[in-house]
Amino acid sequence: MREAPQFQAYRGTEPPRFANRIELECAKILDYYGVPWEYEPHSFVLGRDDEGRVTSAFTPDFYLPEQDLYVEVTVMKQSLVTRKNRKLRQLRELYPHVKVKLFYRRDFERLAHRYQLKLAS
Amino acid sequence: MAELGIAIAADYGRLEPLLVAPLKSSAIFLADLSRALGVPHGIDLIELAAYNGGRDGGVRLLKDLDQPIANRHVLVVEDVVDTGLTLHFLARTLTLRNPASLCAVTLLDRPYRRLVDDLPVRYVGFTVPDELFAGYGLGMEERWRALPDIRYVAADALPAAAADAA
Repeated sequence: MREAPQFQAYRGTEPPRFANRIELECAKILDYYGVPWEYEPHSFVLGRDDEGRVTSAFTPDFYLPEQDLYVEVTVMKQSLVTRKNRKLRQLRELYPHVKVKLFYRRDFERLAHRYQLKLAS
Repeated sequence: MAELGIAIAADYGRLEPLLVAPLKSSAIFLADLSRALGVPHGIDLIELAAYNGGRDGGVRLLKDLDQPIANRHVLVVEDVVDTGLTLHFLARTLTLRNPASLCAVTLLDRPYRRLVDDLPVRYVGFTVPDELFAGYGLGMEERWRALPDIRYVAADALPAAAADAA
């Protein structure tokens, strides 16, 4: 991401390196409303092989410490998120105490009307 | 509306709550709720700057309340609670002014994208499906606010800029 805003509510230690525009927009909205957030602070192990090596993990994009909530955002169309949905199900099974929400592209299209986001750029 | 008015009046009695509505979408709901509320109450308005891509660094108040709210029973009158970010900001901001209590009533509750849970929502008109609505004060880029009742907005009817974003 070329844009590098000065975040006020970011609670991480390293400057966030967003994977795509929607992650950046999500961070800007959280920051605008003063909701403390972190970017990819934790990875959850979902599977290991016989020797204990991690074979599958899930790293939600955002963590909102005051809400104790993880938020994963995806730009994929709803029909293409099967793999991500499966990982999310695994995460909920293995870590039932962890609160996580998945924001689909459709959710951001809805939010775009409210916040006038430019998702395509 | 009558049911909301009765419920709120029963809880507040003679506490003379102050209804605080964020402009503009809540204006019509505020007017009808005020008329349905059979107990003495005050009215005030607040306006937050629309999100502009984060260039302002944080929420700006375009219009603050006209009166202090210390020791008043404040009831925020919201049109829609969706992510909860706006109400969360309002509640946090108004709580700093030491009201006697602070609760919220929302005409529509759309909880599917809720990002903040610690919201003071005490009264809900309707919990609605994950769709867009307009009318009865709710607008999309200023369109359709004046429709007399709430309408579901189909995706192919969205204003051009919003459709571009989609």
